Amino acid sequence: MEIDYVNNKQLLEPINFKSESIFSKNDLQITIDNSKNIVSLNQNREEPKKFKTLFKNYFLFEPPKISELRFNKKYMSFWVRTNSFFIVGDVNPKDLNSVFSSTASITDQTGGWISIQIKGKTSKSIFEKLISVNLEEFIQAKAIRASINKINCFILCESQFNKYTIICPISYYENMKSRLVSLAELIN
Amino acid sequence: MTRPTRTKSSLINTNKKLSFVFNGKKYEGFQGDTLASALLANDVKLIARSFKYHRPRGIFTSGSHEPNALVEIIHDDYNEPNSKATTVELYEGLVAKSQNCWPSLKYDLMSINDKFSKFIGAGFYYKTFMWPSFFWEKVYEPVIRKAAGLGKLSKNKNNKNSEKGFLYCDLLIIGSGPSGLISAYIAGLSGIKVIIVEEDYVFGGSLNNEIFKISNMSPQAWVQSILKEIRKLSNVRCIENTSVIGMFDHGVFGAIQKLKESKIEQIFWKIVSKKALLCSGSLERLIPFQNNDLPGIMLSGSIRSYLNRWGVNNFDKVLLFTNNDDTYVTALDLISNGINLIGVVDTRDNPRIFDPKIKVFKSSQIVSAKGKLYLKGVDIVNKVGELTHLKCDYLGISGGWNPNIHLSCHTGVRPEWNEKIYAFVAGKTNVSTHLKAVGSANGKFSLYECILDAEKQVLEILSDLEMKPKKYSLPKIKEQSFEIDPFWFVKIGSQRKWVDLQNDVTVKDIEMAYAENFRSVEHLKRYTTLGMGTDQGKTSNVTGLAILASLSNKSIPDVGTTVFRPPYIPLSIEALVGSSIGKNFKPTRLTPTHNWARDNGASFTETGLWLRAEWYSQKNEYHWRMSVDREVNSVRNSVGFCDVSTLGKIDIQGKDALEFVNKVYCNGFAKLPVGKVRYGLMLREDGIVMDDGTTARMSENHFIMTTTTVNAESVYRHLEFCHQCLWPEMDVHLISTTDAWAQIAIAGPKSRKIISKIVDKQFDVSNKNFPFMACKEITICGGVLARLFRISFSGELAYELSIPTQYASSLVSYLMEIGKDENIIPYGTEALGVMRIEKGHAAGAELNGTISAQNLNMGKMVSNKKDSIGMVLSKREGLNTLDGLRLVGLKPIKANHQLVSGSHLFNSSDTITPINDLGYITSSCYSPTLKSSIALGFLKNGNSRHGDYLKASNPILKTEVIAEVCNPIFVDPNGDRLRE
Repeated sequence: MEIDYVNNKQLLEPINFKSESIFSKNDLQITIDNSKNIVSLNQNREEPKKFKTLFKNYFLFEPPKISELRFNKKYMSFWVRTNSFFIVGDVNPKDLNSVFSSTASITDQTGGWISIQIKGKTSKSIFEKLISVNLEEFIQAKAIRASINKINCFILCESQFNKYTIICPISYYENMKSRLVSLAELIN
Repeated sequence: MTRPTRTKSSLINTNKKLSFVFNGKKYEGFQGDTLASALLANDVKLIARSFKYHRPRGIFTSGSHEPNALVEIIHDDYNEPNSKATTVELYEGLVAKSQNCWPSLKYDLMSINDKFSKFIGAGFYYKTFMWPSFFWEKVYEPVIRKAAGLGKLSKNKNNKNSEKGFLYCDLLIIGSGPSGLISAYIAGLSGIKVIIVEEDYVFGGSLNNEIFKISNMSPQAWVQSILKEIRKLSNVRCIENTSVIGMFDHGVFGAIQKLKESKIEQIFWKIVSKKALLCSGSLERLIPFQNNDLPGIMLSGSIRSYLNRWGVNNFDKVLLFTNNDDTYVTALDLISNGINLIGVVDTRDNPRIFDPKIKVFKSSQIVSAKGKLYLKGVDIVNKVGELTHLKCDYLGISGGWNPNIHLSCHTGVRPEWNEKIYAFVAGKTNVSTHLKAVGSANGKFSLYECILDAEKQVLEILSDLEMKPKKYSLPKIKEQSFEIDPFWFVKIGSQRKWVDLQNDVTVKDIEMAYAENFRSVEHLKRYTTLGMGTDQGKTSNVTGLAILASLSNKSIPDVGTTVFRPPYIPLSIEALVGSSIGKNFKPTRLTPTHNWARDNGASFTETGLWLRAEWYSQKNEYHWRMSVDREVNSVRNSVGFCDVSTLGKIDIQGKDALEFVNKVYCNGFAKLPVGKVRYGLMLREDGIVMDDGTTARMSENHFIMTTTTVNAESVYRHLEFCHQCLWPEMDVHLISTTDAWAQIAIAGPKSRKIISKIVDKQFDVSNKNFPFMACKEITICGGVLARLFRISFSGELAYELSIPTQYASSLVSYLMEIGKDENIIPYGTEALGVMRIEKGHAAGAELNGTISAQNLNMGKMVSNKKDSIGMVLSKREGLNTLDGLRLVGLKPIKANHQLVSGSHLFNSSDTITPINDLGYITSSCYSPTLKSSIALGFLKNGNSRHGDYLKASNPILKTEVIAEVCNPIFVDPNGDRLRE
């Protein structure tokens, strides 16, 4: 197989949504993004302290506790299950493998999820009709598992009543998009 | 004295006229009107015909407890039957019509029923329609079905948008009358989360119907002022047009909100609240007397509502009939608006004197109403039996007030009798801590008592919630009293006296039910249908109980009540469904190549939640078999590819990953080398096959397990159970990567050529270096990370290529491009299915939850050298009989005969009975390779019966085919092709 170096043409083009708006009206914006890498970082049992130190040194925040969302400009992380965390951002699974080596295993999930950001004052009205969670207690820097239209997903609260991110499996994307946009149309 | 058509009312906007149509005639009303108030203002008295007897009926109340004025609202694309005119807010262009009448409201032919009322009293259907028995299905039932019911559906598709939502609060306040508003105010100031809901489209409750002063303001002005304070509080949410329809366990309430000027027509809210206050007020009850159902006869409090709230001022010659003090407030309001009040007929001997201008007929009863289509007058009788006839056009009746406590009974708490007000109040024994009745709903019938009660109750709640109240001020109200003497019905006269107006239940019906021994209140309800209409007997239940009590010489509390159940008001099914219709009913999952497949002629099928390409039609193909046969032949002779991304993929990593995999599969994995894949059989605890798949060892502690599409979730759940509950000590991680990795099967004798074109040069995919069941992490197309597995379920040389999902679409396009010389084609699930049947590979139809490894001819796969899930019980005697079911192949002896899945197998000479049943067909197809129908199935002692002829019988499809039993592996039985 020949690689076309002359034209520098990539033979396989990935489907990549980067901050693509799917709804924007009256202060409510819904955008999609699957450009960031997502990995599962799974802590092995034997060296928990070493894992914690490596985690903090690499990501510049501590491993999140249950329902905690930690983030900085480069990375975002939340607890998924015992000893397992999602890392979203500019992460390279190979790099993580060499950093964490025996303290954790890495599972690349990039491309398997899509992030949908809902921003604006009407976002509270949207989520009241989507999830059965008490939005008053779902405060900033929290992450939850929820079900929207029977689609299991993660929801991250970046700013209460103003900015949320839904992370759902890519195979449900069309269904999720349809639901969000139709609800946004109805409310706006 | 002349008076304006509408009084000066602050709740209608006389600057905004609205036109509407009722029964084909145009009328005008104002913004803020209900349909009922607008009709009354236009002198329309006759609104409907009653359910059974088709008697003329008019507006009776001013709220959701209306029993009479049920109309059909005609929208552009659908009709809304059984709408209460008293709660429908008037809008421009509203079209409504009466229901249950033909050909017209005034001349209803079905009013002939009233002539036969003697024969169709309560419960008549239990005594009739018995003979002749064959008439039931042919005559009685169709006629009854046509005659029964109220209103008709348009049967058009309803394009309304309904939603559901979830709300949480510390305190839910149901009702926005004086007690509700005071409660919301005090609670809101303390900082707790409060939701106050109001059924009406304006806040204020009963205060909207009054004109006395509160803190030197009109009641409506006071409502607005306190609402303004409440709305300033960000922790208080006010929702109008919202009826709480039920109280459920654990502080959960259901509420239906109707929205105006919104694309969403209604929202069904589930409200979870730590505490709740029932401020739903009280409902007036009627007094039965002869012909008390004529249009023009209304509840006294409702006349006051129409006068004060909606400004309806065309009442003329009004008479009032009562046993309590509240009616005199109506009397005073009528007089102050210049309306001709004939007087008040009071059953009491010494009622309080409210105003000397009011003529009071003391110790008197109305014995009969006169008129045909409308009220014309009444006959009254005093204590000594003197009869007086009075002409009147409107009669307001009041038999007392019932606290509106339905919601408090929804969790099974029975109400308690209050002798002071002669009504039931919310029960206190075993009362739910979540809900307390307040104000008028708690039997406090003066405004003064309501406000004090609200203050007391909300302070208790704040104390329970450990919150301190902030400073607040209460309105200044004069203390008032409320007096009532019990009076349940007029006994004089033999004509019918109506108790339940909606279901046409009379005093006679109750007496007859009692005489026929239906003496329990539950039997009375069902036998007479008292309280079973859409109004749930809100104006009639207690009166009915009182009549039963008098018949049985018991007290009313001893008679008891029936159980109030949700919903409090009628609720449409669509409200409960919300948005879960059509595509929103069940989510759909799309494969990574879905769009490409759609653009390339695929027909899709549902596999669980997935949409998968079933086959790809080409231009000259007009039947699916043409496409499928072509695809199978192309794969068998050249090469094809299929998106198999839907198979479950589970990433298993960790120090104990090998041991874990070895324990969950029944066959051995302990010696699986790195770079190899193995077929795995997973058993349930009881030894029955749960699922099958493959597991590849990518590195020392890294495995990729695949599962069937349908079992992806259940297998993952099973693995999590094993890890968390059975072997929590194992250091292993299980991550579902079904969505993260696309998987493309490339199969056919030319598949290696295709693979060689895309795999980067440093990877050797020759047969020698990449043999059958090998696996490797590679890169393709200039560095794209991928995983290659050499596995086959089709009997051909085949690979499965796993790549990150985002590249899948691009890959399949590229495969089509570089595979042109090999005539590469995409194939779908049908061709996939045909080839796996030809190869004799078990799939979902075979793994049906009753099949063991032995049945699949895989008994030897169950390793005795290690413990695994299901190993012990797979050795059960019952699963290991010599003549047990075995997987076999079947082929009809005549090539044009078709074997059908689900057919059962019999010896040729045996009759088709269960005793002779030898097995069944699980999968069947037409094999283009063998040019015949073929099938897989399970047959008793199957391995010893190859070559035998059997009957495959399908009694449902009425087919019977003679077939030869053979090896289930029809194609490549020795596995040569997939190893080449």
